Amino acid sequence: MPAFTYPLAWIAAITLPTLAAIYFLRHRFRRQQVSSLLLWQMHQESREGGRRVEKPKWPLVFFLELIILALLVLAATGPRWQVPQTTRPLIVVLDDSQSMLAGPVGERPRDLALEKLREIAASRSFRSFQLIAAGNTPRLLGDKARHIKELETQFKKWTCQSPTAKLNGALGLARAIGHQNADLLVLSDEAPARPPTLGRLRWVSLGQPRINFAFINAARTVHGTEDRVMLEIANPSASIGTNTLLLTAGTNVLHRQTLTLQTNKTHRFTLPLPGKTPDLKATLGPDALAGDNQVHLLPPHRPQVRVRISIENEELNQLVTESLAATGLRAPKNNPPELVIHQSDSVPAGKDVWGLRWLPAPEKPERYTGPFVMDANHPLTRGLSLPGIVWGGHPGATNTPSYRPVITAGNIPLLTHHPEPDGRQQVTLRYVPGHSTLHTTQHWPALFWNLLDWRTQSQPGLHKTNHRLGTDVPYRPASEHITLNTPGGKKIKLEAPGEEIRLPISVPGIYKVSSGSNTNQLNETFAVNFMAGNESNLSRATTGQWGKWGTENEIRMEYASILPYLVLLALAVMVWHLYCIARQGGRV
Amino acid sequence: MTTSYRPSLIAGEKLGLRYALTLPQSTLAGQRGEQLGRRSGSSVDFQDYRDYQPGDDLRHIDWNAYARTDQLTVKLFREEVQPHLDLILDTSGSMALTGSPKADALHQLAAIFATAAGNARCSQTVWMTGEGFQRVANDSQPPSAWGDISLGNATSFEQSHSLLPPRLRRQGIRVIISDLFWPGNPLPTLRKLTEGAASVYIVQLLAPGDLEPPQPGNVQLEDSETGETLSLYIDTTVQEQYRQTLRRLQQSWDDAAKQTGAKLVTITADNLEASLRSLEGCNIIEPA
Repeated sequence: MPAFTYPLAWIAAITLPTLAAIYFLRHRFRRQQVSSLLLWQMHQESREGGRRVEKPKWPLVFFLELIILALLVLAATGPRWQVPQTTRPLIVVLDDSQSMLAGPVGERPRDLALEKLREIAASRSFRSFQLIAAGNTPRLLGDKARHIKELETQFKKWTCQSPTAKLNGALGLARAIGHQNADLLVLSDEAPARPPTLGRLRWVSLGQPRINFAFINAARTVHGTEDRVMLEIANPSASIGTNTLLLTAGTNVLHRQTLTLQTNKTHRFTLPLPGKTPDLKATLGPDALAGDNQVHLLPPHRPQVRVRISIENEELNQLVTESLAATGLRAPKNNPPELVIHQSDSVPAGKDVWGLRWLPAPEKPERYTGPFVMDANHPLTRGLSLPGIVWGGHPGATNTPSYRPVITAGNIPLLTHHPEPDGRQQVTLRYVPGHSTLHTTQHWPALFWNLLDWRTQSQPGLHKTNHRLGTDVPYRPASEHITLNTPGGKKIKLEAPGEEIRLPISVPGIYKVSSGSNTNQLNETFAVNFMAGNESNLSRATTGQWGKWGTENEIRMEYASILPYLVLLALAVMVWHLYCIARQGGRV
Repeated sequence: MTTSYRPSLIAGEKLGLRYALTLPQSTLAGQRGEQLGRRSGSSVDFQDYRDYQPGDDLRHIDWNAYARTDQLTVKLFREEVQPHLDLILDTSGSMALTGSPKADALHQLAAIFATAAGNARCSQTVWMTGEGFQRVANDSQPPSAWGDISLGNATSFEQSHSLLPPRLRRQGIRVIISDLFWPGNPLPTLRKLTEGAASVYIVQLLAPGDLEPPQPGNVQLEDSETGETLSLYIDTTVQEQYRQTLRRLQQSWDDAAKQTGAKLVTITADNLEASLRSLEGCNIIEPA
């Protein structure tokens, strides 16, 4: 499409309807009475005139004059045509976050962005088009397209369900694809952190600040035999707002509350819930962004581990038993065992059996008061701190090869861990209760809770039932074949050659996942909720444009004037017009 | 009559005072009058002799001839007749074409012929078309005293003739004023009009708009008699075709006139005074 140097010259186009009006008034049917139509009943009609006509016939010279005027008007606008050799690929980075869906349909940033993209494609020629959706991770929406119309199927893949938009990552991908030769376009609802100054980058923001209430946190945790629900609702808008919170379980309304929140204020709400309560649904009233107005909280997992204690020392056995009971993760039965706590030198037998070997106390235990070195990334040390602790250990103990030290006192290993090739874990504990104080602190049950929780993590199935959109949903399948049912009713077949996979979650809602054989199938349900405070904050949404696709001089060089061709064409039509006039004896 | 045409009649009457209707001497017949007829009569002009027959007027016996030949011979004298003009006016809608001087010209022409007939000592009857042919009121009087000549009849000349033909005087002079715009062969109609006539003159009166087609462009033509319309884009070709069609129509009338012994004259309504010379040229009228 041409660009116009003097767009105001389009005003001259008013001459076109004026000319048409003149011809209409001049050539409309003039009524004339004749003595008789006898003489007009012609058997042979003229080639050009004479036919019965229902509408006034416009002479050829009119159309010629119309073309001449149109060409002259077009020439007056100074049209410039983009030289085909100067066209570049266009790589579009589309903000894939939920905030692009804020507002009524037709005014949503996504709708406006599509409109803008079509407008840009119509006003400028591009060699090709490539779409990148910037969500949690950048993803290509499809192959390169030669024309904007070929992108319609790719537009449907732009769902805007992501809790974040990592636009910089997507821009990095776009630059890598474009090889510094492509025009880059970012379509978002927020302004860039810094206006782009380098590169052929245009950033178009099409957002609008709106009032929006959102769930920014939601959890349902085990609290004994009951569950405890925590909801955090925020008003990240630029003004005060009111909304209604509604909690339902099935058809039962559990709670209804009208919330009035100041700007950037949050409201926390907790609710004890019977453990058998099914899906808890919390909803907010309609506002600018619908995606963050609903959360589903399914009953949390209550995983338990079958533990066999093979310790003969009654005192120690009692300590271990009480410690395990304090975690609440021990199963009532212990057969077949998943974890064996023992003092023998041999590794417990059995598939999937983990072992905690509690080394017998030495004759002369050593009391270590620190400093203790902990592997902070190890699952056993989560939440542990050992200041002021006295740890009775084995003097002169050394770390066994292939054992990974987890807690040491200097170079003396106190707690070590050895992963077996078949996936089992063997933990060695050097701890003498009579010379230690750790078992009298709150860190002692935490250590056992960590051990049992770690063991539950390796059990097949899901670890959690409620997830935040954008985070990983790990799943340990019971077989290689997994079936995932999405909230939209779509069934996805997955293959899991390893022990654990990350389920492909892209939209919020309730999912069902199953694996295992037909006779022993593992069926689980989990919820994914959109909770992203940053995305729900629509006060930062704005409309504007930043950056250019080159300097003015560069852009000018990409275009060539077509004015001479238009003038020549107009002259040619004028000659034709003169010929027609002359042929008609000077009469129009 | 609408007052607007009265001046046309008066103007025609004035013009007609200069002319007299040309009379065909050989075939005249009529009531007693001042013109010599073709039969024997009671004028003073000697015509012939014949043998006396019982019942003949004794005053017409040529006694000199009796003395010479001893036979009773009667002198015959020319009959004195008054010739008659049947003026037939086409008063259909086309003769009152809007925006043309056709209606005025029709009235003037009628007045001219009637006055010229008076100058030639002819009696006259003026017929007009309508639901059959009807006489114009007071048509024996000078034209300025005539009754209304109603124009704009939807009935064509031919239809009027078929409904109620005019009672035309035998051996009279007949003048038909019309634009002759009706479809079909003119010969049958003309045969009826010329039957028993001493002479028949057909005066085709055309408006300038009849002679020349409209200017090029989009034109919606409306038939003045039927109201029917025709939308056309007129260009030079169509104009030429119109002229050719008009010429064909005139030619067909001219041929029919020749076959029936009538005379066809075409005159233009906008310049009637000049057109009178063509009537003189055809010996329809002559200077009085």
